[in-house]
Amino acid sequence: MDRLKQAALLTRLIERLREQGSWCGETHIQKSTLFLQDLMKVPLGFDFIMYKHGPFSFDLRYELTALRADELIRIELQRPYGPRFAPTDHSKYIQGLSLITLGKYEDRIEFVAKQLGGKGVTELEKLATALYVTHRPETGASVDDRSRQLTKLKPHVSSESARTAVEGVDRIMEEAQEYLR
Amino acid sequence: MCYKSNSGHVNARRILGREHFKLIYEKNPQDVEINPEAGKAVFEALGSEFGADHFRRDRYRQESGLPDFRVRMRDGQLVPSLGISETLNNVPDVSVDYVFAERSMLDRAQQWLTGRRADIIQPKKEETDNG
Repeated sequence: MDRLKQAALLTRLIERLREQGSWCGETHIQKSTLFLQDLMKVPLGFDFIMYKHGPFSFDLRYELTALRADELIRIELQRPYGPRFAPTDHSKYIQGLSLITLGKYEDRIEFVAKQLGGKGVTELEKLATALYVTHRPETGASVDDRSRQLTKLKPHVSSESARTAVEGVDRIMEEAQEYLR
Repeated sequence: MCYKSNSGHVNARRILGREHFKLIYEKNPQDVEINPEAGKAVFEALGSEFGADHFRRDRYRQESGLPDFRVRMRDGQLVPSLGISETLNNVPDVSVDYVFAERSMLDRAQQWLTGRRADIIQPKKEETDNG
């Protein structure tokens, strides 16, 4: 996917997340992009690895920096919290150049924003890791197997929380089917 | 003995003969406002008009994110650096985009580019979905 289309999709995702009440810090964008790409099959082309707080894409981090440099997104600071991202007015112009791509994926972006927009970073970390192990099963695909794999990757997550996250991802995946047909 | 066929000959000649490429385009805020990938558009247009071998593009985008680290306050509390410093939130991001042309081609390419630049950097609206 070329960079302008990618920028149009990312800025639209940020817009929709904020509309759903998301804080929209880097973690929120990272985890939502993982869902958009891995679950909703939007071909953004970012590589995700398992990192300190769950799946993380350095490519996406670089792109967020580049989007700031190109004044397509900006930082908002609300002390004492971390920064939140917001699209600039100029992002509308870039979105206007990619209307077909946006039209194609708009409902998927909306779906991800609705599912994740209201969630905090701790929950997002668990859900994103649950999605990650679901798509990359090292052992079995059952809820128990994936929960075990999640706690293996994230030892601070209790078995109960891991199970809730895996079941949560299964529910999101089931609801997502409607958009993937 | 002829060395022209040796790999690296052209590059060696350029170094020894001071035939280095010259700057023909650099990114500027006005162009970026129209097209964040203006450098790419210029590079591709020049390449298709005169041949890609005559041009080089140097695109650098800062790879690190915001300088986010823990700060120990006087009362011992640990807080995120970005939560307490407006300056760190506003450190400008580095993003450069240069296009260079072979010396022998520079004048012709520059002439060709002048007057066409605005059209070249204008991004095309999507007409078909190839994403």
